[in-house]
Amino acid sequence: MSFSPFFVHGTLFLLGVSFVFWFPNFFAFSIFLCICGVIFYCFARFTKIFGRLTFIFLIIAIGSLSFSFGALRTYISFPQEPPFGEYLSQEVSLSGYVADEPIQKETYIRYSVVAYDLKNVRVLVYDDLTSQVSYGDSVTLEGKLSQPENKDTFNWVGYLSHQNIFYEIKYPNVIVESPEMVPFFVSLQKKLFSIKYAFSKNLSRVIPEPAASLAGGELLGEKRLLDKKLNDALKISGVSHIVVLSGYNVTIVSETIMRVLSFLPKNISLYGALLGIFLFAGTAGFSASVMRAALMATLLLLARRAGAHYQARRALFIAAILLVFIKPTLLLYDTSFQLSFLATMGILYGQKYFEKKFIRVTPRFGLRTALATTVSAQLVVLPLLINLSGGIQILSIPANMLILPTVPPVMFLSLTVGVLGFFSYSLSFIFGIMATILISYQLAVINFIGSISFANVSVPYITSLFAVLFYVVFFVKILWKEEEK
Amino acid sequence: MERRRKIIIRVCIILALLNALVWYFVFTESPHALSVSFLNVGQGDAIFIEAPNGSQVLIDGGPANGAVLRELAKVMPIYDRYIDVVIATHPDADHIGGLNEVFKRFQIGLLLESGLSKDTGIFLAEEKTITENKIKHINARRGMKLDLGGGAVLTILFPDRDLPSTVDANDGSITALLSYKKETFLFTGDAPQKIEKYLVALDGKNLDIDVLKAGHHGSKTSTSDIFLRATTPVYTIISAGENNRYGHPHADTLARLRTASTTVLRTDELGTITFKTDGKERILEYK
Repeated sequence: MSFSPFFVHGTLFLLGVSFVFWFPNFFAFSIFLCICGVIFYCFARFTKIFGRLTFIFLIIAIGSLSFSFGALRTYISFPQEPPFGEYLSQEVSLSGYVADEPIQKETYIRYSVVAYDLKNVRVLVYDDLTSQVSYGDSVTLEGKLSQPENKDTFNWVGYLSHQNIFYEIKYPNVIVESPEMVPFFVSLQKKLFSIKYAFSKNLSRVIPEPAASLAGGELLGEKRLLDKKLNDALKISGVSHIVVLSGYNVTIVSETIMRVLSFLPKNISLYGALLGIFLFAGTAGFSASVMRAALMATLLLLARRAGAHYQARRALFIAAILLVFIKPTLLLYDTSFQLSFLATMGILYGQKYFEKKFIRVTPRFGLRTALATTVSAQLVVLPLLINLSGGIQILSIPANMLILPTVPPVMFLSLTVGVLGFFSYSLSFIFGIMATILISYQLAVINFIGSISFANVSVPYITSLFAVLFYVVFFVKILWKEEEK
Repeated sequence: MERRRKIIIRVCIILALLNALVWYFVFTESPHALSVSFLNVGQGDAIFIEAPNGSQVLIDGGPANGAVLRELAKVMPIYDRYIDVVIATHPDADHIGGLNEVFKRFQIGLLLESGLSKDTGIFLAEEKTITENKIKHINARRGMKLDLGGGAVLTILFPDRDLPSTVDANDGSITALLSYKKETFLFTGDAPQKIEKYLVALDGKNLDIDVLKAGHHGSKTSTSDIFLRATTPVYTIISAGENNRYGHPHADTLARLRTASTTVLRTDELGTITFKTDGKERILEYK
């Protein structure tokens, strides 16, 4: 037996990355492993001292190189706490730009500010609900500097530190200034966001709440506007993935552009589609889950153009490794990245299998596909979800079967409403009513299942180590099968 | 040919469904009764009035937590994107906070303001939205009558003059009286006791009403004994958020209300509270 070297080394790289997060003090070991790898490789490749075992040593050498490569990359990325200690619990004044889209909670609005003069210093800001600050604004904050504290069992401090956030200011005096000093890429991102805002404005003009927020979530992955009650109901009924940008959204964008531009030379429509994917990912703030989807869609387009056979599984792996290489903290600290990666994997490996199993379920209304998709994705995501939430959403399969078939029409109608809204209020209004009716159905299902007391069964907490062990076994099994084909 | 027929049939089905929908809306429209809903928006005020002929008034929009949009969606038909009159009683964030989004999403026939301004981000943002969306706005003045139609009339009792900018926002709260046949409702915004006494002096017996929205979310600075004796409400509504940080409603206020033997209904306990009346019968609903 032999595994595809690509998958093996990719997995080892990812293992190396996660190794560092669990055992942060093994820097010397990683260096040692790296050097060993190089030495073994040289000896095995250029001498004959290993005799017949040369091949095995070569594999081990490259394997340990992949592993230590992942580990060292992660060590380099480790954030350094800025020397701000002396200013703690003192009144400070700090100028910078708003570095993310403010998140509205029940009692406050939260965002982070990157300081101008201190490179890479990010401060978390809690602001009043009435705050009018938006992404990319240039602000001066006056308030007391403090350090975040852990909430309940969640390692909030650790989570923040991996985003380079070590300090927070609660309810500061916020002065918005002229945006001269804001970096170029931030202004660009701000423009991309404004496209999204204009779009969701068109939705909210003709669709009432909370249907408008849900439509924005399904089409644009805009989750910030969902209220807590709906968010909880989405989680309990196990359908919160519908408000996450997925490969599906990205594929719709690229396919639509390709079709619209199909009268042009092939290369131009290809570039158009690639640009469209880039812009779409941009309106979503280049978040990890949308980047995963965008990279896969890009690889699909490129493979098709080159006449190569597109291997979705390989593309998924390439996308994951590339993103983790760019930002190692994604692997263990970005839930949306983890869920999107695992769910896609489940679908790629399991959907066909389950569709054959559920031969007795009617394929009408897309029910069989919905069931197969849900089961395959849920199975793979389950250990992570248990680890994250300490519960199993036992009604998620019927909930998904009821909801998933309505997601494409809702996306189509919302897209129509959003586009028409730029030209004609009345036309968008008609489609808005249709969208509202469909979304009201979704809301009814979500709220009903979300209110059932036994929908969320709490289970004993499983440690992340156990979850990861599960996934390692699972990966190995998959790689094995991959080889048999 | 076969394909074309299928398409035609589908289009017909969709049109038939839309047609059925329109008739459904027509029949659910026009309730022939007055309904007044004290919306569950958390710590703040938002009151939605629908007159027997369908005219709508929104008094305040609650805090900027998006709740007013969700609550409005429950009391308005899904196709309705127009509110005839919005009243912003005074420029505090727990009253106008949610209005900015309302102005962005709904068409507003007329906006009534207190005339007071406030140097806060939310107030300035709202001014901008009002200008951008060209919303017609005037200052409320005592004696103004909004004929909502079908016999429902909303009368402005306060302010009775131009307010100097030094006036405290609460003191400048728009106070309005809604009457429909024998039923009367009084909305006082955040008006404190001194304004209540002033109103008693001005209106005396005319203040005898059925439903009172207690001033300032049940704070002890409002709902005085004198006011309760003059108004003798059957029901008193307190619009406050669950476990709010101000401790509203205050124990003193609740004690005064008990003495006045009025039935207290609280949005923090009951959620949205709706009165429906045809002038003879009064129906109470909680959500």
